[in-house]
Amino acid sequence: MRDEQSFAQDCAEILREDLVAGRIDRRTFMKGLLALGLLPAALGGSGAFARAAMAQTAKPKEVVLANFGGDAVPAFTDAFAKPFEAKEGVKLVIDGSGPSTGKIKAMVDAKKVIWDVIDSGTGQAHQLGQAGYLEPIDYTIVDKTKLDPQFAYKWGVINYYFSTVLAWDSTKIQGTPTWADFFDTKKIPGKRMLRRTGLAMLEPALLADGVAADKLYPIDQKRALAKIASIKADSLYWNSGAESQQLMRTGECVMGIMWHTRANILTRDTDGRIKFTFNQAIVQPGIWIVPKNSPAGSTWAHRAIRAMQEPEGQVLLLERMGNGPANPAAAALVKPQFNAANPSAPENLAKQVKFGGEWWMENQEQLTQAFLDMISS
Amino acid sequence: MSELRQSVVVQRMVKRYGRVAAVDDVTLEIERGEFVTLLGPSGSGKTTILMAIAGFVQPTSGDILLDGRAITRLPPERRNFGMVFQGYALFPHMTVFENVAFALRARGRPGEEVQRKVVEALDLVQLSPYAQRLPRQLSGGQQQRVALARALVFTPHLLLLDEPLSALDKKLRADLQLELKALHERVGLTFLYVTHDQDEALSMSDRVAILREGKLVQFGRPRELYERPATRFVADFLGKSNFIAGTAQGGDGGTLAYSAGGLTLRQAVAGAPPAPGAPILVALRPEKIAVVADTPPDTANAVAGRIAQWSYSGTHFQLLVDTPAVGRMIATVPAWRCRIEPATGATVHLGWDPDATVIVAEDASADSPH
Amino acid sequence: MTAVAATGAHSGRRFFFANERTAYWLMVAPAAVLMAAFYFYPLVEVLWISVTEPKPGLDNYALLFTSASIRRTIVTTLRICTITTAVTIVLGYVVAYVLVHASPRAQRWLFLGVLVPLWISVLVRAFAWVTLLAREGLINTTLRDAGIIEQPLALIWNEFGIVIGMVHYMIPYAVLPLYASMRDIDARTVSAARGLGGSRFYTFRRVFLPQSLPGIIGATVLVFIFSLGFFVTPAILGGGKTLMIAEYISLQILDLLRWGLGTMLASTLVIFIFVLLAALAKVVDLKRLFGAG
Repeated sequence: MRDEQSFAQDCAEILREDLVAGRIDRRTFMKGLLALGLLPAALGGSGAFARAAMAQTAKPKEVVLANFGGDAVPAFTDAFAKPFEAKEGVKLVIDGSGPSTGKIKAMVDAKKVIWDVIDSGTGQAHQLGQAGYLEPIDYTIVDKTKLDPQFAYKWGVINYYFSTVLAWDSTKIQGTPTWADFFDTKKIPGKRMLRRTGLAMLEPALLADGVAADKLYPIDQKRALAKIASIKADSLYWNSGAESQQLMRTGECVMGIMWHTRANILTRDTDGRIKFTFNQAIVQPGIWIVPKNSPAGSTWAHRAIRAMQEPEGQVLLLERMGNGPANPAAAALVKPQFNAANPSAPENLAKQVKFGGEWWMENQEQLTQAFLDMISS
Repeated sequence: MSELRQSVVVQRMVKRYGRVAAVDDVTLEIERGEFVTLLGPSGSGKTTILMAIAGFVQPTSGDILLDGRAITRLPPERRNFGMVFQGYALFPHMTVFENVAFALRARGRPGEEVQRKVVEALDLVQLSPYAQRLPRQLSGGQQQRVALARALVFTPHLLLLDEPLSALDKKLRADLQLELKALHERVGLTFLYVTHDQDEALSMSDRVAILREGKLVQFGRPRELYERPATRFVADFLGKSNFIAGTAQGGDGGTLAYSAGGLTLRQAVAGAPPAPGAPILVALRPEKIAVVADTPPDTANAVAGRIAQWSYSGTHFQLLVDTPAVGRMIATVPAWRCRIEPATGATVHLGWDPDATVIVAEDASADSPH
Repeated sequence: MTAVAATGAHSGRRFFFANERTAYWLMVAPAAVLMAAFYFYPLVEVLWISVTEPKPGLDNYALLFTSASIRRTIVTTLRICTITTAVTIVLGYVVAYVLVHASPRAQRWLFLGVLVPLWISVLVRAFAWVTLLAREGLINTTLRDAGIIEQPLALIWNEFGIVIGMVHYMIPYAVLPLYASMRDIDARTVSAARGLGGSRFYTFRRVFLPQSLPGIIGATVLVFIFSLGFFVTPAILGGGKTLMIAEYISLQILDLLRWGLGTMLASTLVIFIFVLLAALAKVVDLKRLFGAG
């Protein structure tokens, strides 16, 4: 039930909260519910074979993109589906049912794949890719000039940016603390919070321990885990964006490492009591992946990805959900008021540390287990 | 003073539940070593009184005295009374031995004393071979005896028994009644027994207390209660009785003449007879009536009537006779060498002596005792 | 078995139900098929995966003995479940005892109090505990305002908080079998014991408690088995630091793709529970315990 939540899942949740708070209208939400719903997924089962048969060159009926639902569905629809249909004449359907690793594996094993493009992460991409469940990204279709090549991998390619930032309670802490402060419970007493699976938690630990930002990778796992273990008694670990938000807001933790989207909401909801910074934050890519035997075929899946590299759609997504545009050309199109919380704004990008996708791809699986073992022992 | 001989006294006890008085101002004095039975129909308060003596019910007012000392507020476990419940309430998870040993162990008695006394108690009730059995492996009668042994093993002041035989069949009941009586004589303890069965009460007790609707109606020896019932209720509850309502006329030298149904009947009286004109109620036991067929009997009282119904029970004929004068009468005659031939519709003459009847009072409540 | 024609089967309507037994099996068949398809088949498949992935053999089961991580999870789970069960049984016993001795009117209200929490979602309850036990939660602020403590107590984000949450969830499951067992105890045995000289406590210890033992055993096994599979409450109240086996399995299946390991742990759990139930069946009448008898 409470699976480790990915960033994409969390965005969906934020927007649901937006509806509840009245920041989004009901009509948009209803559209999202329909898309979130059961029909596309259920129908997909029987239609999958037909689509696969039509295969690569003929125009498919639709291309299905999977993410974690809620208001991410209408957001992605407006940002990507509409332009895609306008340009290619093929529908891009957003399926919000949540593509966990296990689900994807089960689908491919059963030869009943219903998704063409999946909003994923580096670890999941590597896991599934190595096990033979994904198509390698075809860079003859996907344009490497429209993204930072550092985030173009074999089994996946960047879709947007998000950051892991340091947040703190400004009534208890003066000024802007650093990672070293986070790990120093004597200097600043009080509880800390970190992400439970350990993803992107090792970098802050090493930075706090004195490792230079350009020498972070390959990560000295032992050292990082030891640093994190040193504050274990004062630490809490969150599974979901909502949880990370709540732990800071209720004052359980005085400092926390969390996603910038949630930190941004916190700042707004607490009238600035909770602050966050992009200083030495870890900027990470969300990843598109393409499963094997997808219904619309690998070519069309890649064409969808190519279409989503256009800056306009990415800027719309930033405005709606806070995800940083991956296309460097988008920076010029972002309205000023959205830049403070935009991880890929040039001034913010310069302060941050880039996430080492290769290392995480190789090591995420064993690190997750090692991290959990460390905190539960 | 007589107090020194008394064992348990219930003094002016009242127990109310809401507005209903289950026990209404009852006073009883039970002598040491007596076998006393509380007898009455259900709802008469007899079990409530027993439970108050045991300590499970607190009287609303009144006291319980043990050898002159008030024990009303003492909790049950401190009263040192043995108790046998309806259904015996043996501990199902303990052997017979452990059941009997319970009271001794609860008092912290040393092991060898426990051993000795339990063996003694089991001998007393003749259950020694069954010491290691569980209660569910015993018959009803055997369970009863375990309950007795359990209640006696610690030599209590008093043994309280709450309708212990009501769940058994007739034959077993009769046997166990004799056993209980024998046990009482052997052990010499005070027994306080509760039942609704008047045969039981009459056959086992030294004295019987008759209770009705929370009040004590009469307390005395069984024979006295049977022969000299105080009220209509007692006369009717113990055995069967005929009732004749009449008006006193006049008495002389120990005999009262009264009129009933147009006849003049005679009743033996001791002391001052009721005033002429006063209403009296007379109770007549069926077995004291002589029944003859042809000519009226030569007894002081005689009425004639027809047999409406009759039945045969081996030892007796029971006749229901309709008399124009005094209504329907029940008469029982020994079957052996009976002087009449019972037949429905036959005319018979009923006769009885003046001392065969007893004047009884009407009961306090307006209810018919039936 | 005698072949008995169904009642009313005269020459007109010939033996559709040739005998009672056929009729019986025909009626049971739909439910049996449903169970087989949706319950037994998936269970068997899980078992199958545990001995075939990543390669055939019992390697996964060997990990039970060699992996320190798994061992720690098992020990943590057993420890928390044992503590939870012990606390739950004690508290549940008290509640059942009060219930059994209460007036019918009071009993109705008490039952309501015991059963209503069952209808509230486990998530809601876990979060309610967070609100109560948190650093700035109701309990800590009340104690601090009353001057009893200065620093907030660590009531949550640890095994203490988990046990509280789990005990709260489990108490109805303990109270009901305990109550059923106590109701069968003849109250007169208690009165008899008191009359024989047993103090209240002695009587309870030697007469009431032993007779309630079947209920205690049944409730203990029931609560223990339930708590083994607990997931939501420990996840929310443990602060992420306590990993119990259910969550561990979920991680292996959903996130880490170690299906061989996950199914092995799941199968081990199921086998363990069946063994426990078999042992319980020897001591207690299972049908009565679960309400059928």
